[in-house]
Amino acid sequence: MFTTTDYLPYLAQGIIASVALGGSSFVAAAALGLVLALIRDHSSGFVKLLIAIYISVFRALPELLTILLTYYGSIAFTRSVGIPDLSPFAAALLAFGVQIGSYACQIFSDAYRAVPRGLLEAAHAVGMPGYLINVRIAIPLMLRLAAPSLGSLLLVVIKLTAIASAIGVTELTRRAQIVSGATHDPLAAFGYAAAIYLAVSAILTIFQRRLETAKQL
Amino acid sequence: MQMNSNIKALDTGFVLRADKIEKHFANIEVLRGISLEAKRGDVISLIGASGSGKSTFLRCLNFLEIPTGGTVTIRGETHQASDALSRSRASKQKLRQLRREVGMVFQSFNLWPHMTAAENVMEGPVRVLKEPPKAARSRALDLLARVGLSERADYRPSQLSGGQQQRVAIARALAMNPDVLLFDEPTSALDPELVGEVLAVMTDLAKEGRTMLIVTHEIAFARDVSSKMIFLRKGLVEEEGPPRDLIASPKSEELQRFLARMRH
Ligand SMILES: Nc1ncnc2c1ncn2[C@@H]1O[C@H](COP(=O)(O)OP(=O)(O)OP(=O)(O)O)[C@@H](O)[C@H]1O
Ligand SMILES: [Mg+2]
Repeated sequence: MFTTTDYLPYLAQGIIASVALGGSSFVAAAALGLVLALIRDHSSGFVKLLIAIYISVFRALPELLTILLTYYGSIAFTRSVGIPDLSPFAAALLAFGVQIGSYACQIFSDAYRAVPRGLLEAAHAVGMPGYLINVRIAIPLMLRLAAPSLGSLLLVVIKLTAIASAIGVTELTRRAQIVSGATHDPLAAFGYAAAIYLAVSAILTIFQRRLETAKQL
Repeated sequence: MQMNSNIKALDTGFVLRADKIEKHFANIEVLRGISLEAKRGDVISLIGASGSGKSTFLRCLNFLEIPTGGTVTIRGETHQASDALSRSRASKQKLRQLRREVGMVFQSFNLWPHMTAAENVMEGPVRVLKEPPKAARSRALDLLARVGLSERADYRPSQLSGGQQQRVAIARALAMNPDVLLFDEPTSALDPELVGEVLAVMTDLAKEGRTMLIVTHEIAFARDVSSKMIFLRKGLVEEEGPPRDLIASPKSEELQRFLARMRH
């Protein structure tokens, strides 16, 4: 009979899937959120309303439900059209990207509103065109203001990847379940998994601190 | 002597002319038709009580605030509200052209915090005037030296005092080679001991023959540096003339009262 320590390499590899899914979902979400936040701040009533609806819908839906709907929805769609199914990883990435994107959009919108108007006016006053003001002034300042919230969001997203196990992504939590089934020692399996999540979170937190102190200057 | 009326605008000798500028927000009338003409080298100071519309007027000149009526003419090109509201390429281009020709210095400096002093100064030349970065940087360093900040070129705004930040902001405005410089209470946000260094830079610019419009509460400075003084009240020009005359013998009761309050 194997003990949990024999499965440690198998468990530890699970974090690769968790970080890969969490990281790519986060990047997709941040890009989507940034673009929508900029559109939101430069557009009129109707588009603003659409974005507001998008944000409130995904604030209401549990992430687990979104991921299940996306996965089975995507399968129904691909079967009816006759193309290959989305992999569980891809479905999870899509679901997280869209849902977390709504959180990121809110973070960026708040950051945009916190950029002092005078700094944008100063850019208008030298005759910069709108897109350059966004690229050179608004976005860099938004990113600085949003950085702490985005850092927390990244940690949340990595934790959330655990629910991708529901559609068969064998990330860390799913692997801990499998190991506990094999060893009949759930406490050890989930305990090790918890330790690995903690380690990743600690590394990311230290990294974020570094970034923030570097930026102070 | 015959003169073609078409070239009249170019021929008047005015760098900047504002004609009957009006501005209302919702139903509040803030500017009720202010006209002004600045010849090359004119230094015009604008004074007036809080809320009289000084900032709004200045901001209408480069269309940071879009006037509800009136026109601004600079370099023979006339700009009006309808241009600024249109979203066509040509009118956006025209608006940016106006802003390029008018430099502005804000009360709260508004330096970009993620850029060094030199980068703040270079940004407009590189991005708007399309100068090569190397040439723009060397010009930025010259400008910073002129405002007494050659040692601070690579500092971030947060590492500079208010007076230093405002001098960087002046260098940033100068870097665009504007025809007119607008100053909106450039020393009001400064600790008293830092006011002098900024006023000294502005005095130098006036001596160089720069065309400037200055909103200020520094009456003594305005008297010494400006060729003309305008007293605004409730969105109208109440009184204007040579600064010494206005200060020595104000005609309106309002200006008398305003000056009396300023002396304290
Ligand atoms: N965006 C705005 N919306 C509504 N009212 C405004 C706006 N901007 C300015 N005002 C009003 O216009 C009037 C003139 O304001 P302005 O800032 O031009 O005055 P000011 O002469 O510069 O005063 P101060 O000396 O306090 O700077 C004020 O009554 C102000 O409340
Ligand atoms: Mg003002």
